[in-house]
Amino acid sequence: MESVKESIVIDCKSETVTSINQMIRDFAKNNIEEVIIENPLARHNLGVCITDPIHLIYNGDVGYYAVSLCDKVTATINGNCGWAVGENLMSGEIVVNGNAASSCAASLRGGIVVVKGEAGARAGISMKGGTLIIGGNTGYMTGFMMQKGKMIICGDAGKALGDSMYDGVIYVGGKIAELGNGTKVEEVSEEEKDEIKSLLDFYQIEPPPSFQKIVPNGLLHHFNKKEFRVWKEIL
Amino acid sequence: MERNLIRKSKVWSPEKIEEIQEKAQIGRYRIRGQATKRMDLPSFDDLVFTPAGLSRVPLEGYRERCDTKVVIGEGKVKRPLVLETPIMIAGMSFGAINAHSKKALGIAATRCGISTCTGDGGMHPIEREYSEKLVYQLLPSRYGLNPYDLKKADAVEIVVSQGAKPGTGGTLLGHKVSEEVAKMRDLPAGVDQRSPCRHPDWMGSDDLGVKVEQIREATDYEVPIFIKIGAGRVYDDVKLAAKVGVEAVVIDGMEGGTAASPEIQLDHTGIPTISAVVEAAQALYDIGMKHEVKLIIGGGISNGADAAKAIALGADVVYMGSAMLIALNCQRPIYIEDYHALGTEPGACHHCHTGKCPVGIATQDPELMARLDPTAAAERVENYINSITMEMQIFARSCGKSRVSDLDPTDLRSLTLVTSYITGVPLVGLGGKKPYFASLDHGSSFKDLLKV
Amino acid sequence: MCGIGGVIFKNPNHKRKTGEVILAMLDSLFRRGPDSTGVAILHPKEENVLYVDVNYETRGNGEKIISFLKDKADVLYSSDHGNYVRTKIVHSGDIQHIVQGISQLDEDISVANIGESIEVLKSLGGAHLLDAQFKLSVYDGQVAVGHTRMATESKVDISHSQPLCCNTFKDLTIIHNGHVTNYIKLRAYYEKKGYQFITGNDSEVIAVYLVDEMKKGASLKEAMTASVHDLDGSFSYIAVTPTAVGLAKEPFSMKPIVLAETDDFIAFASESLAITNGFGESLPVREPGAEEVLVWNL
Repeated sequence: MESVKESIVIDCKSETVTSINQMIRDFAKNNIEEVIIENPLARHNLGVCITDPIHLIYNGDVGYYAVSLCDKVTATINGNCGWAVGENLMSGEIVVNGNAASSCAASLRGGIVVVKGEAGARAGISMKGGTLIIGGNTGYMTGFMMQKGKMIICGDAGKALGDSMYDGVIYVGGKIAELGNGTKVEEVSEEEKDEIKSLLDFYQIEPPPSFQKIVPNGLLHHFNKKEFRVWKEIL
Repeated sequence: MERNLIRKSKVWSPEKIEEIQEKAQIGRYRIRGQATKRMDLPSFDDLVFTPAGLSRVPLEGYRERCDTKVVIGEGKVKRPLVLETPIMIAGMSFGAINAHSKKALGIAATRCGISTCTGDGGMHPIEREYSEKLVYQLLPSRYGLNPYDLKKADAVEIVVSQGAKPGTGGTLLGHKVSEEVAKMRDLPAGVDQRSPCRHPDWMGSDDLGVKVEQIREATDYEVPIFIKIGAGRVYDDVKLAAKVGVEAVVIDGMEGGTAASPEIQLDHTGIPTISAVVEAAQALYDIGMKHEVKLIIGGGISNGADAAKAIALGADVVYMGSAMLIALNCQRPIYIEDYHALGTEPGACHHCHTGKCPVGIATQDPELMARLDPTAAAERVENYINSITMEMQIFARSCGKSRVSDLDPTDLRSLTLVTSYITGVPLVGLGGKKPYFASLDHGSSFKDLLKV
Repeated sequence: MCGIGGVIFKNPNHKRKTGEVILAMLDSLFRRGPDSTGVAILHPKEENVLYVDVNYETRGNGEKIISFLKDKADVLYSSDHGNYVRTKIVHSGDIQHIVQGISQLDEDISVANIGESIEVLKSLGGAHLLDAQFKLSVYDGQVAVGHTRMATESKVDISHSQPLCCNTFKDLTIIHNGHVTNYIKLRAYYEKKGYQFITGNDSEVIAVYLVDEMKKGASLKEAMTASVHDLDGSFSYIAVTPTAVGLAKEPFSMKPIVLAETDDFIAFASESLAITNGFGESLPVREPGAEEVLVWNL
């Protein structure tokens, strides 16, 4: 079927969550390029399990699990998000022109999630790949149990940052309230600085003057009886 | 003069002494596999069936019908889960066990018309290929989770915790995190893996309702959803889980198995399966949802007697994990020198956490894996499942029931006071009723004394 | 596990009546808490006037409670709702003998709230019943704070429904989402100190804790800040007094709550969906962080 550049509008006011998700999936399968979602009104589960390429534009606030369990999807959310926006995204791009609440990009696997405003607690928890960028501050336990991937936080980070990270890297531009267990601070290379700057420029986010780089310190990778204090915190 | 008899202490038993001395070496709690080895727990063995005699009529053991089929999600989802016998194979992760084990379990389950379950490691392609009915677990770790596997599942089980270690997450020690396991779980190979104890994106039954809606959206309302909880505060947990609106609630008792868990937790957390099943059934009954929500019980179910008693007490299906592994070959007296090298023996082995399983089940080592032939193993598991089914039918028929699901608590009596109190099932004999000679004998009865 | 929501108006211009706002908010939080719904509202203080709200179970006890009050005070208003009595009385002096007197009428009777400004209205079931029974939609005062309950461990009955107060203290009420896991220990401590608990609900200990801290001289903000570490478990909770409303979140950030503020009001709720429905428009919200305590003076 010929690719049709079309923009279809869904007005959530007159639809159920199930019909909205079904419509988006059908449009994606039929090569519709863009869906504009009007009046989401902070409802939950808008845009769940979509696995064909499509671009979604949300005009308004969304509830929990917006654009979750998706693959190959790009989305722009012009509003704030409830918990777990972009949960388990496999590939694609989500840009939130607003704030994200707790657990944003939970279990992210690939692609990129950009929150222009602030993120709540547990941002990027259990990330398994991909990139998470937060333009503002982020909350408690951000990056908890991070397994892979990259996080760039332009503002301040809350307590327990990167606690129990297995792998991956977190860059923080502002203050860190407290580092999580099993982390250490490393030098940021020139190459990394350039990469971060070009990413932030691309998303039109004002970069902070400098970044700290947080990585796992390896102390939690294998139990070591000599490091009791470290293990007491997490076991 | 003392005769120097060797006297062992209860508090300072040989087991306790070894435990203390090992902790003095390793500087942490002990971790091991299998399940609690406590000998003092109330169990299904404390109950017996009271079959039909004159007051009820039994059914012919070899000729009359005795149905074993159970359907989960009937009338609620587009593709309910149909089980030909009320048994499901419990979740054991790819990582804890290997591809040969998954293949054997899948083949056996398919032949018996029941399901297997992915466990805390994601959906392995071999399991999906060989198991016709596959329950996909959604755990706090989210290892391997992706929308494609979700859509391939025949049921989704949201795991809050498991019976062996309720309140905590999974463990896989570094030497079992092979390249393949690491790839499936997105972890660095060889690193000790500890799963989180809570889901990353919901914390509480109020938020869980929204998560369940998400899973239903992702699976098009096609498949049943379960919630699995390790047995702790069973009464409250089951009410909350049922009210969330799922097709089944799974309760896993403290005898439940694991490939690796802190030993202290195996022995001291959770409640016995026999007590969990009655609490769960009572909870569903009290909120009027006993017929709406199916109850699945697991945790040390070892034969048709355990299964039938669990069903009589209110379960609809039993989950069996450790027993299936034993049917595969766990504890088999072969390669005995390898058991000895681990410091154990067939029949006492709990060394799943070491990755050196002598029979090739709980290991990723290719040389050891080769010791488990999936085809032969599948036949053993199939034989075992069939034998359990027949045992359940014996109990049902002898109680006059043409359906295993018609077994009820009044078909049981308790041999011990404690289990009678725990389950509400009356004691055998007079069960506390006043005997005919009470008025002739002027001593006080135990029951009267209790009333004080 | 529950839903909470509330609004504090900054000036007398309300585009929608306060009662209508809170009803719409609580209605959209029904799924989080289908067992019961309750609100706390504020009235301007009048000399010697008290709002007394009472829980009961046995049929006929409603009349007993109202007659008792008519005997002891001038009852300006009373209504009986089958398990709840709502009254407005004139009374000066110590409130203890009113509270004790009512509680002693029968085992299933307990005082849900007593206040010079705060009134608590509760019902089993959803928010629409608050309007049917108490005409809540008509209320247009400065503050309304409400709760939808999903019972975890304690009973589903009117006395265990929120908002909850400290039995011996007037004009403090709380609503709580989460579970205070050290409430048994705390309750034993406070009972020894002489506080009376009327429910088996862990949330009640939050009210008692705040009252005790404030009796020792702490401000509401100081008491709530200390509570964040003294209470264990999961919680986002709101406290209301006649002069302030506070919000506190525990250090693990486990229970959701969002805040919206405009020139006309401050609103908070477990889900932003509730705020959107409350005001009929999408508003920018933010999520308070772990250990955050906010207090607004009225």
